[in-house]
Amino acid sequence: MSDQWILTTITFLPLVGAFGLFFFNKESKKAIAWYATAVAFLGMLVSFPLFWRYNPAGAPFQFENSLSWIPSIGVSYHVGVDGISILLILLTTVLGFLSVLSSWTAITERVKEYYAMMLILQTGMLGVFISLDFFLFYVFWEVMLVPMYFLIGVWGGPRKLYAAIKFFLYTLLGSVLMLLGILALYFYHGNITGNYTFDVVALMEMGRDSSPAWISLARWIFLAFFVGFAIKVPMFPFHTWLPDAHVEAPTAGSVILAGVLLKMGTYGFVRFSLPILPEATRHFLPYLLGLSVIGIIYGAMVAMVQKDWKKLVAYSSVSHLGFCTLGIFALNEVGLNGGILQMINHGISTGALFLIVGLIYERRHTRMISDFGGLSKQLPIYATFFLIMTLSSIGLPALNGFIGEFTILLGAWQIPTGFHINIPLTDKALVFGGQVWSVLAVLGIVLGAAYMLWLYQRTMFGKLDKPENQALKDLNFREILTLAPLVVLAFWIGLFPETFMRMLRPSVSRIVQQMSENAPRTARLQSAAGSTRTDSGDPSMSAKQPSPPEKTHE
Amino acid sequence: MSDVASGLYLLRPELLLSFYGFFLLLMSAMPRFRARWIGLLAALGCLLTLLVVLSFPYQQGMAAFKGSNLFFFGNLMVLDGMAIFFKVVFLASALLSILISLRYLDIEGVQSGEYYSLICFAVVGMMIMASATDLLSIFVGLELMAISFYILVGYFRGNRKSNEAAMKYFLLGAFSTGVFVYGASVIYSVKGTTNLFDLGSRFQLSDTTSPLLLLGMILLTVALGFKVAAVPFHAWAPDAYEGAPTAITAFLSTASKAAAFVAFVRIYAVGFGGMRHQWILLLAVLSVASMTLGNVSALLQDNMKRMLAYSSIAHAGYVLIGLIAMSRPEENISQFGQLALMFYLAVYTFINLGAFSMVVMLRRENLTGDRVVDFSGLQQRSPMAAFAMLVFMLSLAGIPATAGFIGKYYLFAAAMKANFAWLAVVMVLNSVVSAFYYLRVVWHMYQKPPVDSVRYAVSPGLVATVGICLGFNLLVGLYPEPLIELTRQSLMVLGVLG
Repeated sequence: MSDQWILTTITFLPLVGAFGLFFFNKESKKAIAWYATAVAFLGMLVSFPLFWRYNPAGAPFQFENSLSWIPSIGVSYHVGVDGISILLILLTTVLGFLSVLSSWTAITERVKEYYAMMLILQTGMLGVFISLDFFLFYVFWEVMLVPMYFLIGVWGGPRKLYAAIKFFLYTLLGSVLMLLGILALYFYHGNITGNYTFDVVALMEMGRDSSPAWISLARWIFLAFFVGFAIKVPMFPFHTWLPDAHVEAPTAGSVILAGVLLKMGTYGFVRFSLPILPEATRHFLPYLLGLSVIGIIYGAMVAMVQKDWKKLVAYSSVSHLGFCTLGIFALNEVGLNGGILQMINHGISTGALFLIVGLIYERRHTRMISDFGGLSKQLPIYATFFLIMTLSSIGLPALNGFIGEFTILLGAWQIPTGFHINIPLTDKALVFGGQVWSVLAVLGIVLGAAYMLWLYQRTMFGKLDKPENQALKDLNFREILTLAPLVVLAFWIGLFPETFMRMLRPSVSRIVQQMSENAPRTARLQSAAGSTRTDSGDPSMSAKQPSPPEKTHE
Repeated sequence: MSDVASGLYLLRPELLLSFYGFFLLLMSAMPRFRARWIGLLAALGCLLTLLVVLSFPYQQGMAAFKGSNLFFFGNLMVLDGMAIFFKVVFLASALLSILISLRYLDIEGVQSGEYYSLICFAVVGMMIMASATDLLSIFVGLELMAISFYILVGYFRGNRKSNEAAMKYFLLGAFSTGVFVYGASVIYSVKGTTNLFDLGSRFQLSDTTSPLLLLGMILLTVALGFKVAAVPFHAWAPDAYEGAPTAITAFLSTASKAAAFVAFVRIYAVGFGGMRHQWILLLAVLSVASMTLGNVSALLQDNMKRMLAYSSIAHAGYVLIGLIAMSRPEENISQFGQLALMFYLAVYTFINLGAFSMVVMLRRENLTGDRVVDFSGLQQRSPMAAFAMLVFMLSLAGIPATAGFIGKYYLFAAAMKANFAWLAVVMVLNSVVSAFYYLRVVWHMYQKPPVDSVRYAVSPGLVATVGICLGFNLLVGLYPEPLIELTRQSLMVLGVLG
């Protein structure tokens, strides 16, 4: 297979496989499950070559392919990947396979449609990560909502309808606003270069533009992108769809939601917001960091008080994604590396935790923490897996979570942006930078350990006093098979992160470099165009800023 | 050839279809000729007319009609790319409406030949509107179309709802055409002409403050706003859409709306091109009100036809954005707005016809089948039908990979390009609201058990219609380039604007 077509193959293989389901009788559920698993497995296998054939020292985007699609508006089928997207693609195909495998017994009705939706969803998610054309990206980004809507709405829990609609509308709102941002970017770029194109690589040149008109427009575009991505992540005030969707979705749906879907938001920040809108990112940085930290602490505190096992894991996602965004918005190489690695880690640990919740729900048909206790005696294998994943989630050294969180904190410590408090009667100001962010974030780690360990204690330890729990069966071979790869990955990243860091580093440093290329000029521009700031459309934003950046450069 | 003779030659599709309509009337008077055959004949007639229309670009290529000055009947009418484009849309819409009517009228028990000939006459009216470049010829087309529709909407003589619908539509419709004529006469009193090109070229700067001319412009807007069902002239639409035979609702909500928009484009861009600063505000208010009120009201509907009626009010608001973008003096921006408008109307025709076909399919035996709950369990009973309806709903909501998305994309882009970012924001927020009620249909189809077990009224005509609409939606959604190119070649050249 030539390099050109490898990404297309990876992406569309599940879709083609979904069409194959047409030929199955809907009653032969076993055959359908086997077939879908085989397709997902094949999908995973074809994605592995990316891992070793990608050359970190090579071109920024590899395995590129570009075909004309809608030339009249400058849209092409342009795909390509760098180290960041490759890791996310691998995460998607692995989790996709495992979630299909985990559905064998969990899904008993409308099996054929279920697996078709899972496979279509897979194509949508992979498409998001390979697109190097904004239009193509948007198509995948939004098409993916439809299968996810069905997964939650048809095979979900008791409040599935509410959760599915809320998920759909919430995300749609974000993405249409993002579309307006994309259009503003497209027209601005087209007007100044005469080349109307949605090509991301071409639009990345806008990151170097420092004209006042662009700077003020870029802030609006950033806000439009921000709404789209922040809802997906979800960052703090936009997170309310997440607990509903995660809790009501079937197990595999939750795994995909937490493992991959949320990463699309953070991926969007890394791939588009940072390189294309560096100045605007820096402009809004205090707010972005603040929301990240609020997300970390708030998510953890809400997780602490949950009575529902799955809801607890769902809220822990809010907290962990706060870490990812904190790392990303540290805007230095260490932080970005950590943030991206933590995206993968979160996919692995939280994906596994959702699988673990799903396994027990399948057996007991309840998720209330108070219904359990002492399960480790009855389900030793299960308890072992759960323990490893709990520790991975709270960031114990030697497991993946530690590497991610540690690197993020390392990056966050170096954040120059922070609080400026003017000392009365002097010209001086006290500056609290990265130290504050990291200390606050550490609080999240402590809380994380608290809620996860408390959960483990309440469910696994204590007396096995509930009669229903005494008849539970431990994991069978298939179930072990769904969890084992994630455990292997957790240890792999924990013990030897270099395998993955090696992929990330060149791509990340390219982004940081592009951002810093813009920096000095922007600084100059900011002090020169201090007056244009107020008429840039958002006076409240600039008024609220504790100390205008001009001062710091004087 | 004399002017009349060459004019008649260019008018051959309209002439053919008029004669065909009379021929159908004659046939339906024959005692032993089955009405259903007349329906088939009418479909054939539409197809023939479609071929005749297509013969224009076939002979000379579409480019020959771009900015064409094939005026005839003393500049009353023109045959340009836009006229041809919309004639094709009208004929396709009529053809598909006839196809879904064949079985539907049998079930309703009102199968008769006049129905089909009235559809033909309505199309002739629309085709005249598409070519008209004079307020008077627009009025002739408008009236021919409207009168045919008054009868068609009330075609279920025994049905009180249908009667009520026809009465409301007739009274308000007659009033609005009255307003149109009044507006035209006011304009004539000021400028001494009703020809749009003359109006455009006789424009003077002092006209922008002329109260009479403004009054005339507002009156025309009211009349056409009524035809496209823009808020606040929409009150008739939900009742008329609900009471009318569903196939006629489909036809009314697509073709007649498109016809009124052609008139809008010709009148505003050509006739009132100089007064754009006056009409932008007017249209922006109409657009925002239609989008918002249409979508919010649609949220509350339990009846499918009423819901689609409100949704079509909202869509009229979206399309008005294309018209607003046309107001910009820059040639490329105004062309972009026109492209967005034409593309969207063509796409919307095929989406809405598909959606109404599904409502027709649910009308069976003694079930009305026009409530949203009647779609319950469609997926279990007929997966293909449910899939088709899913695509139509997603297309109306503007989700990618459907034609509706490309259409909406163009309208968003037109608004952004013309510096009406705030309109684009209103539109995207509205399309999120609208997604809710479209999804409601989806959840009934996919997540609820069936409410009855009466067989669906599937007929070959219906299957063909749904198939064509579905194919169109997916094809254009995935590969829109050919349709975009076609629309681009059909653009009206706005020599006068600017």
